[in-house]
Amino acid sequence: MQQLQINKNRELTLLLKLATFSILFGRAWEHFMYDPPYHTFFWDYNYTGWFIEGVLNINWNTFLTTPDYDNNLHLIQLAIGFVFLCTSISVWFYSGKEKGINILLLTSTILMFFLGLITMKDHEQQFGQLLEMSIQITTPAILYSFLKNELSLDRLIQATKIIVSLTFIGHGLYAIGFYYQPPDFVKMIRSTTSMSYENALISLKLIGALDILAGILLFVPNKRILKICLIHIILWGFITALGRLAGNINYNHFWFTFKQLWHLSMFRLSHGIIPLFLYYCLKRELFKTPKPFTNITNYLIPFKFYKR
Amino acid sequence: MKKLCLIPLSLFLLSYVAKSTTDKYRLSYRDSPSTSIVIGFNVVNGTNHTVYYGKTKEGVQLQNYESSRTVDRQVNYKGMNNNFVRLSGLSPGTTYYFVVADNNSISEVMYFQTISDDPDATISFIAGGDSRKSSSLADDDAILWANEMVTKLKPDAVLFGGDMTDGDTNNEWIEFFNQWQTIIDSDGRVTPICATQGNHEANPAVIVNLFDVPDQDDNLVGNQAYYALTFGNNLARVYTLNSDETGIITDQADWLESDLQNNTSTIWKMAQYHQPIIPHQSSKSDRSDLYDNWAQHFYNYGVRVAIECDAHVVKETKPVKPTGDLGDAEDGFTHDPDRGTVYIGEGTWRALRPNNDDHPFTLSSGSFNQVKWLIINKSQIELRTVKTININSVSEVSNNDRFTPPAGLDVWENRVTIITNSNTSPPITTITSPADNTEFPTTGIVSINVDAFDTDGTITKVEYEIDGTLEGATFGGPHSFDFNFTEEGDHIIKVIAYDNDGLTGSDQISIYVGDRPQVIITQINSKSNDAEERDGIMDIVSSDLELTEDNGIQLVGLRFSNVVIPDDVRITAAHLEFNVDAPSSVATDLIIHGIANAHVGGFSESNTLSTQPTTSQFKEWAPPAWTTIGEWKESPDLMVIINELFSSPDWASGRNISFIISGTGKREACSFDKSPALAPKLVLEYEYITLASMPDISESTLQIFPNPFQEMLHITKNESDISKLQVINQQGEIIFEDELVDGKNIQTNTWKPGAYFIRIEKEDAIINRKIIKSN
Repeated sequence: MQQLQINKNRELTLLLKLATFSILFGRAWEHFMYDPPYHTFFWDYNYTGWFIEGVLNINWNTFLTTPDYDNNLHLIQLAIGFVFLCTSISVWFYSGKEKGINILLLTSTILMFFLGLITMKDHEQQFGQLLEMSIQITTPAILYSFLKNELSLDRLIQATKIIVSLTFIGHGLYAIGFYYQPPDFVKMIRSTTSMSYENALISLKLIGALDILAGILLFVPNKRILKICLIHIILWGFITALGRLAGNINYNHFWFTFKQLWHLSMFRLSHGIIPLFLYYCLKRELFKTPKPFTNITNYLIPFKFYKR
Repeated sequence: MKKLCLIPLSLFLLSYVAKSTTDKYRLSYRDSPSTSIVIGFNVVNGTNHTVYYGKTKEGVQLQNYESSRTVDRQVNYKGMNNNFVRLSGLSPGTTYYFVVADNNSISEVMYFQTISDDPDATISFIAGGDSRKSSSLADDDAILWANEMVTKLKPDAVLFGGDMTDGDTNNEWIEFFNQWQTIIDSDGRVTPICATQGNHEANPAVIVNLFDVPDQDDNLVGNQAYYALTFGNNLARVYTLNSDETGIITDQADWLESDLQNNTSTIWKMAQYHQPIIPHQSSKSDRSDLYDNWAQHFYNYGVRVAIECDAHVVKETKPVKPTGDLGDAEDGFTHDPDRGTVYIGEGTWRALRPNNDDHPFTLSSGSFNQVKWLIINKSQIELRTVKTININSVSEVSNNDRFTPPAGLDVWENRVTIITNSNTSPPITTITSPADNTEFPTTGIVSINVDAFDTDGTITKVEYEIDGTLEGATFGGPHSFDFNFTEEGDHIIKVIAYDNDGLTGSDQISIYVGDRPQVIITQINSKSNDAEERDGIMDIVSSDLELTEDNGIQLVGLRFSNVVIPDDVRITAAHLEFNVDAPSSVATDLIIHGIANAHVGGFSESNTLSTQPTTSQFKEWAPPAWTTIGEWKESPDLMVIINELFSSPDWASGRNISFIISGTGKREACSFDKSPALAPKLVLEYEYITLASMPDISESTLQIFPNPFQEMLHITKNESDISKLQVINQQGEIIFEDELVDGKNIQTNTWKPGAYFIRIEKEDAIINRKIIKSN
């Protein structure tokens, strides 16, 4: 009965579709126009040497120094972008019954996971990169589960909370300087708040700490705390997403840089939309307030698909 | 026995050296490259690591080295125990040998050279980047090609533009430094590296900790890895910037501008950074922030070379300045050959991508493994893109001459880009004689005299090129060169002067050797001088001249006024030239007559064409189709008409030559009213009938009278020597010839009225006079 209500809940469906669309459409644009870090994977002998030399029988040095091979890598990138584009458009026609769209959503999830892994590799194996992409990677699968009723609502909400939490802990790790406090974050704060450099650094650390705290407090079985956390996360999710554009846009070359940046904000909008989805669930009292940490497998295997 | 005892001792010492407990050597700079250097290495084990160094090669005899210094900085980073010994107080332009020793090992002997502080010194750099080392298992030949190029070209430093490794992991950095040892020459020469942060270096600390570069660390924002070094005696200041930390781009811009303002006396400024402002690979984004913050400073303060990496393609731009608008038709940069910045790159030390994003300011782009080779002195920068794939065919430069390209060096498109120093003056060079366009009537020796001087130095050499071939040089003033011209015709004389800065100045003239036809070109010069007459109606304002049909058959008249023919020449050919006003291909047959009146006035309603007296001689002309507007079309030779006109006593130099054209068909020519520049022309070719260089005899020794004459011509001569007498008509025919002793009376009643020339040739002189027979 509860499942039926959810299926009829257009707002929740719309939010998930919007998040999936924004992620995959933004990523598709990135794949068509720019340079996702696939080369860090393809040019690493440890990862692809066996295939290039062992299977394709191409000398490794020849592979690296022949631009035609790079054109083939670019075709792979375009193909992935095309899958993202098709998926992003098809979600608007998705009701959970379309087999082809099911396949597209799951394929996009796998490809996003692959992108997350190589993004992590491209950032010196910093696990925070993968954490920070948790929402982007899993949102297509959340939409699939939600509309196809593959996961109980309770588990879906719990899984979504974990994903949101991981994303914001990943945010926070960078902001507090766990790896290295990125100057572009500092710049973003300074350009949007006119703070001094020193204050921007301190602010960034505070924000990072709040991110991590909010990510943890999501699991406190208290609706009031949960609500506060979600509001913080929603606001900060949208601010950081739009900050990619606002903080980096060059007003001397507005449209020129807008074309380069809009997709970065686009696919990060999900960092605000998915927490908003949780907030709606909370407001409609769809949350079963769980006993915290009673069964850890409930959280760690969110995508164990089974029929109710 | 004594020798036998030494063998185990030697073996012991050899094993002692071989078991070096330091490795991964690298040299870098923190301060002046003339007086300091940083020796970096990884410590495997041992204690008390010390660099022993001096100006002589002392091998493993540590006590013989002039100096030693222990470790100044140690940092465990990227899986290595990085130690840095900072040497200072070194002598400029000096070779220093060194070993790294500890309590149980001594390294191989290596050496480096400090940069000379001689203002006239030359230095060289290799610039490149993106080795992206990933695995020790990978067959990364391309990295070794470029590394080996360092040993073969022996630059003073390598400007490395970042992305040394792929993933910035410990193993990758260890492998990078293992491969970096291949830049150490077989004789121990180590080339310092100026390292830049790329996007595959996680943060600036990587560069600071592994290369001990100077930093702008203010204890607030941590390492930033941007710095500047001045090479030589204010010769070149190299800015290593950090394009990958986007939060400090504007801070760097402020620092850059301030530093540039404080170093205006430095002759050359160059910049290296990782990400291109405008890449030549389509998937790479343009960097508007670098464009706004750096590119204008580059231009304003004379940064003439910017070295970029990241895109894995090859490029060289024209010298350019920013337009201020990245979205404009020029993609943000416009050509400025005098002050512009040449952007080069973009990092192909290892892997390649297609060059698929050229721009209007691109000089050339490509996709191959290469490094840039820059040779710099106070006068110029020589820039070459050197392919590395054929490294095995490349010879090695010698330590005594590191700047002459070695055999086998594969330079991209054979291009050597020269950037000259606008702050030093080239020689001012002038050919003082002969004058431009001088004509020498005979072949023979011509003296070329040159005035060359240098406002800020001395002339070292003047070279002389004749028709593009270097024929000689002078090294001290006065600069004069004799050349024997054996072939008649046009010749180009070019001289090139060199000053002590290596700058050049040149001058060039044209001369003609031999006796060539001369040309007098006269053009219709007023609207009444070209006219059409049809059915008795005159048209002197038409913009075209229809030859001859224009709604009926018409006459066309051309009047060339005030035609001046020089003395002592004879006309050899004549023709008219028309500029095509409209295409026409109908069959056309024209007849050209002269107007037998050298005083004819401008054409008008009262001075019509049909009333003009015409010559008995005429010329028929059937011009082929006129197809291209604006082309000049020549009539046939009109000498028969000109001869008749000139033979008339009515003719004299400065009078008018006029024609009437009749016939059928149609060709359309431009008139004076269309455009004075396109109006019809009369072209008269002539030649001198004497050699200008021969001495003349005095006027008083010869009398010819009367002039003009009619029936009889008298010639008297004061000197009694025997001369040869010739009378030549305007066609160049000799009509009278005899010996001339004292004088001669010549019957001329059979001669036609007109101009004639008398030529009297003595042993040592020739005299020519023009005479006129009147009616």
